[in-house]
Amino acid sequence: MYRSQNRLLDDVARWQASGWVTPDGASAIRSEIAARRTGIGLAGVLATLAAVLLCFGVMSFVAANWQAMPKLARLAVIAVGLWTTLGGAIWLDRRGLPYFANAALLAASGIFGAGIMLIAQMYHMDGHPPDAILLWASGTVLMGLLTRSNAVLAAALALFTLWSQMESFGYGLRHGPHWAFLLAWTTVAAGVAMTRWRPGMHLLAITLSIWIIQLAYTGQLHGRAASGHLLVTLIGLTLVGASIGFGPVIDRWRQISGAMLAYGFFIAFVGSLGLQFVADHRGTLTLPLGALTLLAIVGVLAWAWRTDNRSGLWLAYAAFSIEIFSLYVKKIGTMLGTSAFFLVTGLLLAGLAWAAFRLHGKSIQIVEENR
Amino acid sequence: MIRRLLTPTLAILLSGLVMTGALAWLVIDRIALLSSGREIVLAIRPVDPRDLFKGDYVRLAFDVSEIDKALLPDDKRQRGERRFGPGATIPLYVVLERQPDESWLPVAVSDTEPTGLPANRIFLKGKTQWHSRRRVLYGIERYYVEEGTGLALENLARTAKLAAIVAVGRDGTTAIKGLVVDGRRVYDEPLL
Repeated sequence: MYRSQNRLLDDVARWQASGWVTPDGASAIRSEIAARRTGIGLAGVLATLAAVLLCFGVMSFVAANWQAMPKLARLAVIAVGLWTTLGGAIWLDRRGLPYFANAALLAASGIFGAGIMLIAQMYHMDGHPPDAILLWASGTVLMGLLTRSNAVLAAALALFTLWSQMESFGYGLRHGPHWAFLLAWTTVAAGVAMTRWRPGMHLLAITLSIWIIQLAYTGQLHGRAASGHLLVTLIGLTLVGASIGFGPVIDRWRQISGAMLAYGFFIAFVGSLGLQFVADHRGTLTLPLGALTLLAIVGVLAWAWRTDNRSGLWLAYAAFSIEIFSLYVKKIGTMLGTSAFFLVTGLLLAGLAWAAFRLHGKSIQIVEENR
Repeated sequence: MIRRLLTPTLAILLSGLVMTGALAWLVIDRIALLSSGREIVLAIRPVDPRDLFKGDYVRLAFDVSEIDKALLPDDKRQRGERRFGPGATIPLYVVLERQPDESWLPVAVSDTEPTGLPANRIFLKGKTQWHSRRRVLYGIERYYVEEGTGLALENLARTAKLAAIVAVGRDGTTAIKGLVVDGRRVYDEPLL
């Protein structure tokens, strides 16, 4: 964030020197940038890391299972630790140090989790471990919703994701999708919507993308059926289509159409990889599927370029590289067939590049003629 | 919205109360089971791994962990199972009968909670492995010990006859209450 702000300050200085921006205008822009700088700083980051270390300290204490201490004393350590941390959070919040208060809340969530593990250990409970994670996540999300703490909401989302992964793949495989995760995800999303925390929206998008991609791997066929990958691809394409078709409408509600394109594209591309290389392991449809995928990647690349969508652009570049490498490794029929495929698509793309160059040249010419 | 209803202090206090309540509920539930559950003694055979979250423990296998294939319910009835593949488990109830030598042996298995059992019978809630349906887990297979002391208990199990005192709740839930070495009750788990 700081890098982009510093670059903007450099640009402002350059624009002022070129006479495009008045000195008054430049100082107004500088003060606006200075006001935008949030107070999180290094201290907030270090406090959050300290909270994580404290949590691990408490969990290791639990793991040591110190028998010299009676059960009641061990429970008291957890209770006193929890309430001292919460008291600290209140004190820090009242002193106007919200980032330190957030770190204390994060530590309290960790101590709550350690408490659950401690009780399980003290009474030799060996039930269904994801249940313990679910209880931990539920307490954490409640705390995040009540206190509107972004750090705690993020921790709750991480715990819910761990729970869902354990439920889906840790104890055998499920017959169907883990729907309960969507309920948990919506709860965290409600919290993030209240705090309007943009990084939180990305965390939500990443975890939901993972859940959607895993739809192809649930069920008896475990990723071997084309239908699962097709579903994932279609969900991704729907998001891409919605972003392209209704971008301005979506952006009027929330500025998310750009991110929607990037995540949708990522989901669709992973789905298409599954279709091409997992479901179609015999390679009967490699040529049409590969050609379609490359066409779609180039389409998204062009759109991301037009709309100045950097993440979309980089994802499309990465997808392009992964796709051609995968096709090269898998081969289209024979090595000669693969060579012909790359030559033909290469020539087509060169033609497109030439057309784009001509169009770009023409648009510059029109702008200059209009001056 | 919530901020209007709750000040940050109240919000923090309320979440602390809920978390403390949840922890207290876990403890009270266990204490209730350990103090009022019916007591049975099950012979054990241990081995020793380590758990990421919960420290050292001894893995216990009981004589009642192996179920005779003839007792298992019909496969067709288990189509309602939610999971499959290695690691998946299917819930079931194992009915034990007290033998003349005071040991308990499985006599029936069902996928619904048994009712109207005579005094010499008791049922345990367990789960069977998907890939090895004869092996049943009861949730008492881990005995947590202080770091580095698992081996001593292991060695003891090799030289002496080890058994666990298990509390069984009305719904078949189980909890380890103590240990028996060579028929002598040597360790009682304190409630608190």
